[in-house]
Amino acid sequence: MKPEEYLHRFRHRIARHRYVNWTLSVHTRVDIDMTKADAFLETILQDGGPLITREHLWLCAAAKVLRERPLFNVAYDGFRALQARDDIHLRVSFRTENGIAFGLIAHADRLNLREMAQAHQQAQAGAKPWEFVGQPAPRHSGRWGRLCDDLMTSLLDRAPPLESLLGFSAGDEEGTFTVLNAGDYGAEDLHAVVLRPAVAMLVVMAPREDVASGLSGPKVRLQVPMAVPFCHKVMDTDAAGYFLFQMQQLLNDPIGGLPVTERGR
Amino acid sequence: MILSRENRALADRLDDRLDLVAGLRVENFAAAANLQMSVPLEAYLDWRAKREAKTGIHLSITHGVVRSVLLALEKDPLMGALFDGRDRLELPRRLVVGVNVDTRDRARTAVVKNAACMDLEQLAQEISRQASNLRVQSGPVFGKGSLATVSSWRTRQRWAKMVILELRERLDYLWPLLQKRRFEQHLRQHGNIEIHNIGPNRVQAFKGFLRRPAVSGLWILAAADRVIRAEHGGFSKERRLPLVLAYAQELISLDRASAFLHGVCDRLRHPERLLEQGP
Repeated sequence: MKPEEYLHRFRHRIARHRYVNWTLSVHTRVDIDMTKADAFLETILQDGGPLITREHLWLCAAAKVLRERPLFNVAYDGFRALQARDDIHLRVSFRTENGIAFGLIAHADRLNLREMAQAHQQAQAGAKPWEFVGQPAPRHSGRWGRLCDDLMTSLLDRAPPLESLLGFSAGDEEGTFTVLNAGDYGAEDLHAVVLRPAVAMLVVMAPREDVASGLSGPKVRLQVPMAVPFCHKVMDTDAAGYFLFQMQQLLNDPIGGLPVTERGR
Repeated sequence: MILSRENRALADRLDDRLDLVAGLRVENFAAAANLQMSVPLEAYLDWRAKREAKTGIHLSITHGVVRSVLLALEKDPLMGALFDGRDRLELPRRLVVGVNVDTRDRARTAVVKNAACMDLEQLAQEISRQASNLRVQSGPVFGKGSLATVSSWRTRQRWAKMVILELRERLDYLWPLLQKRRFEQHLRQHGNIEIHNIGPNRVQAFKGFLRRPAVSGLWILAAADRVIRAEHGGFSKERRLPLVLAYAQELISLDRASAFLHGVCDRLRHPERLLEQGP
């Protein structure tokens, strides 16, 4: 591996991560009980229904929660401009032979579980590598170019309203909300940095069996820890808790909340 | 005792830590993601007892993790690279590892040069030797005469020094020699990767940050028992050791970071692999 080539390949991702783009990411994690969701998936399989996985379930649930809690789907300039986004396009991670990649599921809130499974497959086929940035942030080359960028960043840090006047942009990824399946890589917890204009993301960890005491002896429950790091400037500390609580409610009762074949909306 | 900016003890401490005070600004941080995984500890503890009986050299959990990190770094040197945040990425030529030692007054780092050339026992001895030296050198948190005051001139002097240090760290890419010197200083003080064992303090959750040019750091948390399903029915207890890897999210992808941490965990799960020689 040559460092110059590596830096050239990841230049857009590096530019996206300059510190003025970080949101103050508060990390909230809840262990989501998947026992009922798993039973639901088993019933669908026995009835000869479409092949639906846990991931399709939580993607559908996340899209539904985003529809009800639009604040998690907004675009934020990091200072005072908050732009509501009516469309919910999920940027979803995939584990591929060449490493992690991200695909796009457009209008995810309008999909039922069967459609979500199909859209997920299509998104995987069109997934782009991790270093791909939909709309790169501007960046000047060379040492003096870097100095210009640095001075600009420092200026914007202190005077954010100048950003649009000076024609600077933070860059952006595809999609409006990122769902990162860190559990694909065995993560038990992952604190990720959320970059503006996004204000939150959903991080799903590796499933874990928990033994709890029950009336008739110990009971094994399958838990999937999920985290929603979010921008504290836009939301209060309990916001992510409500998001995850609603996810748990939907995954506890998928029959009532997540349609298999009818239209979602 | 009331501590103020004019207090001599506090002034001494601030002067001593001026590099940190100036360096720990958000502009100098990497966008650090924290990845946590855990590994069953039983296999390592059993193997360690046998190994210690054979060699007579004490091996701690830290020693096992450090050796495991070194072997994982040889497989993926990017995790031990130094990065200025944009244009300068230096892969390790020779692995230097830093092990954090908690002394009474501060956390100091035992830096092991040529760590990759050492076997597990040599590494353990070197870390223990340096750790006890650092503990002997450490002093009280605040010096004697704590109530004495310092002049405002000294405070102003410190401020000026701090601004210079800040500017130097922020803009050293304009003078590559200066940047090279900073990289070398980082290597001398912290190594390619720094490992912190905060488990003895019973820490169960932790989020670390990274000051450039570091691109990764590893924290060992307190081992905890979990009830798991036994192979042949029933339940059993498993002791697991959580490890937190902080990595620069702008440079290292999640799959790469997880492969590295998996590598570290796998060697602890199969500790005989700690005796392997690197590639």
